[in-house]
Amino acid sequence: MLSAIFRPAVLLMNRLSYPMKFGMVTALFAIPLVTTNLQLIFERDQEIVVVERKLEGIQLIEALHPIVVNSELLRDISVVNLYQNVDLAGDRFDSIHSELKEQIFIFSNKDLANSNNLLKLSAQSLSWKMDSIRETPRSDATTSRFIFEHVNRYVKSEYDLQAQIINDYGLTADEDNLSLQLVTLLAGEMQKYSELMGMGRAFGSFYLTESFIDSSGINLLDATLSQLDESAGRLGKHVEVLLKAYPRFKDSVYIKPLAVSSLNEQIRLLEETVVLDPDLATDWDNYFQSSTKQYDIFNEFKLGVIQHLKYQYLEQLRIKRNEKTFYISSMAALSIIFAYLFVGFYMSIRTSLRQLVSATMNVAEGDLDKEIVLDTRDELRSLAIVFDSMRNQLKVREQQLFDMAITDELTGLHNRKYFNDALSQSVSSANRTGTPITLLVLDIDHFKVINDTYGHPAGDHCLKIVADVFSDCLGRGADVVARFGGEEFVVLLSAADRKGGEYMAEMICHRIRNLPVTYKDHDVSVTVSIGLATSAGDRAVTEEELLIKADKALYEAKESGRDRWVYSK
Amino acid sequence: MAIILLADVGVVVAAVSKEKADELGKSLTAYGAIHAGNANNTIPAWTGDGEPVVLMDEQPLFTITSTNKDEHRDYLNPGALAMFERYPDSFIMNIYPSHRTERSPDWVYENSKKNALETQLLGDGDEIKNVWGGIPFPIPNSGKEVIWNHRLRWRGIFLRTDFVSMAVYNKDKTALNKTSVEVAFPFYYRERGNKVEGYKLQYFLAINNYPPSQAGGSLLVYEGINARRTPRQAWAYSPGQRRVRRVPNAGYDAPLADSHGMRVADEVDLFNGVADRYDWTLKGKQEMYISYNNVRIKGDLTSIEDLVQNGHPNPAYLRYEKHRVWVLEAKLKSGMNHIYKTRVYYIDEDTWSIVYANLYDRREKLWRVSIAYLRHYPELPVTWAAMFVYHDLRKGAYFMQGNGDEKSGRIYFEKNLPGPNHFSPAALRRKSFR
Repeated sequence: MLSAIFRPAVLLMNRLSYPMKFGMVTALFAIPLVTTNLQLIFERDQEIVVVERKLEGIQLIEALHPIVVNSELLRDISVVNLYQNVDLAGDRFDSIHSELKEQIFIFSNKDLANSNNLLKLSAQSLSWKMDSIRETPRSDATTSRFIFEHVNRYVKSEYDLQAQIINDYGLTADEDNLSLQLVTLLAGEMQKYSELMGMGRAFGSFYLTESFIDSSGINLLDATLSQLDESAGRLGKHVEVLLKAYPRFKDSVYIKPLAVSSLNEQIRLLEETVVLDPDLATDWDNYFQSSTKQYDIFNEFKLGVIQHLKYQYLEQLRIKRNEKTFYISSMAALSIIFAYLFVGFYMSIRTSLRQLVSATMNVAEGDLDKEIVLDTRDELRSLAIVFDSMRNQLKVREQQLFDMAITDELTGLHNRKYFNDALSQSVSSANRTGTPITLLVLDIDHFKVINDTYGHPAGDHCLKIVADVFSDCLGRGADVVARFGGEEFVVLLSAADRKGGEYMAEMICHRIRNLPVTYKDHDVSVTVSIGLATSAGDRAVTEEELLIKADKALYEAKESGRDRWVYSK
Repeated sequence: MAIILLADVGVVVAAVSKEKADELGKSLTAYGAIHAGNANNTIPAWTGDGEPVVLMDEQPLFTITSTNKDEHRDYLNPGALAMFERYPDSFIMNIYPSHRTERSPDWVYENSKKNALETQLLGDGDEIKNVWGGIPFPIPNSGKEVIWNHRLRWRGIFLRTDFVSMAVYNKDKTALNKTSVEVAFPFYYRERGNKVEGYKLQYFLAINNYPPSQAGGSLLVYEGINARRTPRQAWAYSPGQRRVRRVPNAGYDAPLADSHGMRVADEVDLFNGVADRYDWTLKGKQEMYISYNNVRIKGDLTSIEDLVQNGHPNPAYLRYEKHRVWVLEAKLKSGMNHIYKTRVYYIDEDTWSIVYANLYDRREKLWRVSIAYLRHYPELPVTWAAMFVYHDLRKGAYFMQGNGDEKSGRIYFEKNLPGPNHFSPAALRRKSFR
């Protein structure tokens, strides 16, 4: 079942070489991983661009802030100047006017240098509108409210510019709730409150110059106060909530919560100086300055919010840049580790395969002695183990074949072929070293009679017993005994001279003679005749020479009565 | 602005001649009333003795009802007659013997005599100058002078009282308000002399006690002597807003919060404020049944719930006497705006209090009849209204406002002036936030 399912995959894999297989499998894993990582990096990159833009935006708003403050001042001064067409604060008006004009010039040419044309156009139009403030229409019917609104239109266009910046630079889209709330606050309630403060400052000062409040003035002040009160309440609550919910906002070095608690000061000032004073005895300028002080406290707070936003954007930027770096380095590390492991994997397989291939080639070439060993712990190692046991079996089988080829089947002694090899080796060795070797040629006496009398099985039995005795007599490993053919055996004593040979021959004759051989309750008498030949040591001999000499000596032993040994001269 | 500038250099209305002024304290009282009684002695001579002790024991001489009203038509004004027609079954007037109980401190009389020679109106009569703390024009030459006399009349220097007021749509549908009131009259501060500039006519502070929904709310009014040059300033505190606000449009026919749509701002005290929207005509003096010496009315209207009945207060508690009144007609100037086109006032010659106000709508139909129920307060002394009742003939409803401490019915006249900041708006805020 499972194999049926995987059959196509197996077929595919079967067609591929190992590097290809590894490459493919690795690619299947590595490519998505790398793609995801790249995507993350790309995303961070985009986010960084977005935050950088926000930072730019808030910096513009920060640059716009003093312009707004001055415009509001100008607006409120204008209202005071309405009084009986007398310029109470004409000089002040003029100096603020020219300062403002310069500020706007710098703002639109420097701060907005890299901004879009629409913003530049809006900023430049501020400059043009500046002149129209001077030409504020005045007549008997002109009210303080009218003047305020007339100049306030100008302030509003600055706020519009601020809103435009907020929109263009994407300040309203933020995943950080605090930033979002602060931007909303900045463009909403704080702006509203600022305007209302201005109304309080302007109208309060105006009625102090008049030292009389008519019904419309009372309504105006009352509306201003209620709105100020409401706005201060909303603003205070909003900020309080933010301070409570966001410790980083509360602990910000830019934020002075004192400003929030003094929100009501402007209200108190307006009430005490204007609303509750029947005589309106306060000098307008004193009130204007005190109001402006409150304004300054509030503006400082506002600037604090702007700077805190700036700080937040910088912080966001730092985090996102760090993240980007982290993703890049982690991807690099991952790739390196992957490649390193992949190469290691490939090399491990390749080495194992090579070892296996060379080992099997050795076996194929007949070298069965070299063990097949792999330095791994994987499946190839078990393959190697199986190979090795195969090699071992082959080796055992070959040994058996070899042994069969050099052994006499009946007696278990070496056969003539083996003996010839051993003899030639011994002879060449003896010739080289000068150590004598002795060759014994043995023949069972009257073996034909035994065969004829008791049958071939009895002959075979005799042969076995005699062979056992021969083997038994040979104490040294280097000595060789072999069945030469029929009832004829040979013994090769390496490093033995005539004396050693004669001793050995005597011992063999003696043991065979006294050997109790029974076959089917018949006592069989067995003796052997032995011919000896020794390589003299002083001159080189050949195998043939040695064999012929030993054969001659055997013939002599047979001739001279059997059951004896004869040393060839 | 232009009008004020014009007024500064405007025509000065001449005071009365020395000879005429010498009659004050002789044939005329110091306030300018006819010293003597009338021919048949239904009106006695002025004695200056204040309130006789017998008032509580007196029985009515007779009762005017809707059936016999025509017999007394000569001494009833159109407003009184309209009441009989509107409520024929229940409205009656118990007529008691007349007592001219008016009595003020001697220095007020002396100031009034000085005023007769010195006090002048400026421009078209809406500004005054050289006026001492007393009646400015004891011998009036014009309607404007009479209304000035009403505005500036003696009511003490500083007093505390309660206003208990009730709108009565019918016996079962009433709305009660209680207010603690403090009033100071800087006009009568001795150190003012005859200076007008820098002094107010009165400071008025009212703090609501009832109903609970309005409790804690308060109103502070600064009334200028020359109310057109230094307009009325008013501050209000409402507990809901928790803020002391200036009150705009606190004059003329601005609606009043606690009056249930039955009186407007310039009807408090039957008339107050600037008279500049009307042409005033003094029609002369006549004998008339007016409400006087109402010893049975106390400030606490709740404890005399018997007073409450459909259409008008229970007449059994009310006392009318024959007195001489000035008749003053005010016609709305063209181009001016007010809910009343014509207002006719009847002013008691002894006290210069308006006692009747007949108010006509834009189609000259009698709409509202307002009555001041006078009473003598010997402790100051002064004769002042113990109760004002504003009848809305269209609605068939009325609004009454009692003047006096809620428990004792008394008005506490203080000899000492309050501190300089007592009536300041800032103090109102402090009081209100307590």
